[in-house]
Amino acid sequence: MMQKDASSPPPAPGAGANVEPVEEDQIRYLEQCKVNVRQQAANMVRAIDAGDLEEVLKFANLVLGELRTSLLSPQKYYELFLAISTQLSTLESFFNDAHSKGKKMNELYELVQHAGNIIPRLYLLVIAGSIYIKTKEAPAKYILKDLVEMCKGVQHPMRGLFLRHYLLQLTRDKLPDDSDQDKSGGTVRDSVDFVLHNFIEMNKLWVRMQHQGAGRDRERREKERGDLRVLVGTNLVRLSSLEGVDEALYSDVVLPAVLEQVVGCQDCIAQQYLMEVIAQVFPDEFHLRTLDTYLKTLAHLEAKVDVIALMVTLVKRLAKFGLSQRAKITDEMRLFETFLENIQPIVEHRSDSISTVQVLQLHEALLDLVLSVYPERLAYIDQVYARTSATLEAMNVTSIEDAASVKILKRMIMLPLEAPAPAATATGAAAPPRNTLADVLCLEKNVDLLRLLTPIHKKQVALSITRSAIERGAPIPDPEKIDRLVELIRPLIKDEPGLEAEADEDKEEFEENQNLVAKLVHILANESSDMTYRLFYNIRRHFGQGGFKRVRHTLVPLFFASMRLCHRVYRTEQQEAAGEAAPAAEPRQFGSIKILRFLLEIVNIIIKAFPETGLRLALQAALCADNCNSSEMAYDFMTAALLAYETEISESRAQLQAMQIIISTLQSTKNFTEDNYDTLAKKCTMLSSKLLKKPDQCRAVVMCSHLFWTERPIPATPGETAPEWHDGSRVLECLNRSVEIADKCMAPNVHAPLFIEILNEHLFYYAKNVPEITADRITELVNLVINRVSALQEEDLPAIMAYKQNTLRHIRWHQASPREPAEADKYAAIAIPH
Amino acid sequence: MPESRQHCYVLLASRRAVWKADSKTNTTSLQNQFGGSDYFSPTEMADGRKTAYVKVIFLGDQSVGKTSLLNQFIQKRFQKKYKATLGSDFFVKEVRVGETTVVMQIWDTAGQERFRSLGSSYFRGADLCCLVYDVTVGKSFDDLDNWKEEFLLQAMPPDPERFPFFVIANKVDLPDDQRMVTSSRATEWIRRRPNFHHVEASAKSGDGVDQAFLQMATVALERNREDRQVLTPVQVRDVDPPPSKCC
Repeated sequence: MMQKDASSPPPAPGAGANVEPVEEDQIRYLEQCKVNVRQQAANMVRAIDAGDLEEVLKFANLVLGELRTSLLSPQKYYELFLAISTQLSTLESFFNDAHSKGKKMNELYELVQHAGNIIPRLYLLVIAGSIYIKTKEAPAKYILKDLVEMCKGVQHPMRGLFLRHYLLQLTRDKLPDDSDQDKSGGTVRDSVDFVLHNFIEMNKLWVRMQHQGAGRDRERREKERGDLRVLVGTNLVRLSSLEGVDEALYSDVVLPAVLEQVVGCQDCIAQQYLMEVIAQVFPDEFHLRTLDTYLKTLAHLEAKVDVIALMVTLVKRLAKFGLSQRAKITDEMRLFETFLENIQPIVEHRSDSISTVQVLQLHEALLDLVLSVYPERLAYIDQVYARTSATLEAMNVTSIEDAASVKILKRMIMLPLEAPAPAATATGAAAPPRNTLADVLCLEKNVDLLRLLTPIHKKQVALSITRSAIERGAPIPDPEKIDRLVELIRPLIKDEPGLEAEADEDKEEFEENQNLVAKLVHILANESSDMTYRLFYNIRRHFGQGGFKRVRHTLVPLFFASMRLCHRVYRTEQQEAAGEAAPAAEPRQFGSIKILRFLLEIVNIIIKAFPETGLRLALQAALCADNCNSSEMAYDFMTAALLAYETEISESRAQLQAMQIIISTLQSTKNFTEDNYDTLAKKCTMLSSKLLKKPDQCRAVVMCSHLFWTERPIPATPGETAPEWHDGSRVLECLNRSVEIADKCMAPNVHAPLFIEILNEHLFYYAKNVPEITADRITELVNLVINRVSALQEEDLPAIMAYKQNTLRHIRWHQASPREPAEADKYAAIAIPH
Repeated sequence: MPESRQHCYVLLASRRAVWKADSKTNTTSLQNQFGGSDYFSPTEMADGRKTAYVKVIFLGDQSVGKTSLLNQFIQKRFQKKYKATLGSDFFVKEVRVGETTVVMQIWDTAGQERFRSLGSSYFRGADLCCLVYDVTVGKSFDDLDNWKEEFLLQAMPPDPERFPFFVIANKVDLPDDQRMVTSSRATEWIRRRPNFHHVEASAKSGDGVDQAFLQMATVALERNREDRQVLTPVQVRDVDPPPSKCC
């Protein structure tokens, strides 16, 4: 240890030799040192100019003497060190110069050692030594060995660290390595030994700081150690940049020696820092080779060392490497397995001190590694998942709620779905295909992780998965995958215990979520109609469990998608039947009829929950079935609609609207048998006449009349009798019934317009030449209308009057300008009173 | 200029026998590109050779290639393996700018903050700051302003607005489809910063590297000269020898 003599700079007032002055004092003191350095350096330069070696050394000694201080913090000492080493570069040139003028280096090497004080002496020795090496007057390896040994003379930690740092700095470009042709100075092995030796000595100094001084200064001491660590780490940088330190030398010599020191020093700060530096400064290729050694070492570190962070650093590095250099990672390296094997015992051993979030961080990094290096190995992903949940289980973690952990866990579950397509490797090998949604759905253990989340977070994950699935839109090749998908997004599919608290979730949000789920239907469409049907069938099973509030959002899109499928299948069936398309290689399992039955099933569910929607879907399906020439199914759909009408719809306005669309749907069908049609038409008429309000009844019955006089095309097959869709007597029956009902309406302002409407219907059928609608009958109605309108009150008049006048004008127009002669007589038969 | 002043700025200019010798083989001439320098007055050029010392600091995000650029410039080597830098290391290399030999002291730094535990006091006295970014990493370009701020904060130049910065767009050898920062974007960015210079280079192929360093030397030299005009020189005078500290 250095002795301080009387001429040392005065310590700050009230401070002991080892206690640093406060910041301002330090700055002032540092400035003073720097002024001294500048002045002495200038003197040194003059001596150099004068070529006076003795004087040069004298002033150099004075410059370097400033480094003897104990009063500066590491950062301030570093500043002084920089100022001085800048000045000393002049001295290097001077020695160089001296050598070229014939001065023997061994003499100079001896001479500088005459300096009285050890700090300046050793700095001068380092300078002289570095020039000595450069001149090659002696083999570099011996000089290096001497220097590294001599530096042991300074045992004060901070001063020693800087001295050795200076040694490392000055010898940097003089270390023998494989690029030297001339091996007389030494080989790269000598350089490695030199740096390792220096490293070990520096680490010892650094560790020793921890045990010096009073216990109360621990915090300050640890800060200082933190500041100084980079000096120790630089040794490792030097080792990594030596030409000739290849993978073999690294794994056989460098790493074992470094690790031995790291483990042996039993110092938590040193271990934490150095292990990280090893991971950072040596190339990935080296780590791949020594992975097992490195990981095994972690088990021997002090209990307080955060080994998880170290593992995460290394895993992340290699994951990044894998992204661009995947081809360099071969199976023989057993990269993934090595991590897995080593992680387990370490984590188990330290289970008391490891937190949930650490476990997650580690496995998250591992997952990143798998996805970048082995993107196509789904089994590895499952292994990481399984390991994660097993580790957490062993730690008795049953639920994960803290924000940091939740975030990682969510990311881990989502990662395989979101991982970008792997880039082609630098070596030109083709990138493997990105995992499809179907691949991801092969994973099984993600569910175990999902289970650890609280219901609300499960739901968020479910939403992310759904979104991502829709985005990918990849085909799903088999129905079981749907089960897996549903398992992952269950909170969206059905009510789950635990989410009750959330039952009053925003209605809008709920609908949005369900619409998202419904979109899944669209990614199911498959080239094979059979597969599409199977997928639809399976997802319907799941949607069906969602309760009424969900099926409205999920089953309706499924209904329409299935209807499209039905049309598609029917079209193919027709083409095959007509020989226009070759029949499918494999016989179709699910024909259009089967799909129609599936539709009926959906319709019945929806009717139960939402009769009005269900009724409309039933009618849509009826038209679809009719189009697909399946009158039996069409009949079933119509029946379902009528049943829904009778049992579920009770409000009068809704009834009328429903009735109207039932009638118009029935009216536009084409393929019913006469019997079935007749039954349905009669049923409609009957139900119409039972509507709640008289005007509604009247209008609906009038509408029913059209069911018996339709313009449907004659069936194509010649020779068959066309069904008798023109039934004038039934038309008349309906019209008569409507007149009766209108008559029962008491208020003139209600019944008058009804009569005008009925008159217009008559005119429609009269124009169509329905025999049962006679001119007399129309004349009678005209009179009735005129009569009823005249009874109206003033305020109701204008609209109804206009309606009447327009109707009469229509008749007169026909009378006045017949399109053909027959028409003239026909309309003349109608008498309109003036 | 009096001899004593020269000591303050151009350390021991003409005395470096060894460096003179080196300069014959190792110095790259800028004569053709930049024309003769009118930097030194004719009297100072009497011996035909002047040496100026400049200090350059390299900054930039982790793994943008600071160390690789330096290795390419100094050793003409490219090491594909990534190794993080700790703390700071400096390298010395001479280039010729006109009649002047410029000795560049180039400081390589750790891109990762936590690897610079001893502070950044070596920023002080720099003549130029070189900011490096990776054209395939958008963030490294976005971070340039932060690095500039950090530099100015630590280096405390007297005229931060005019302090010269040199921006190197590294890794331009990589295919265009990997490129995240286009030339035009960088040019536009530089255009709004009058004291910034910009070049594209590849530490891997070596393209643009020498030119970049030569240009840097020129800019730094310029700065060095301005400094001499702006700052009051420290008078070198005889002082009483301080009391000996020897034991």
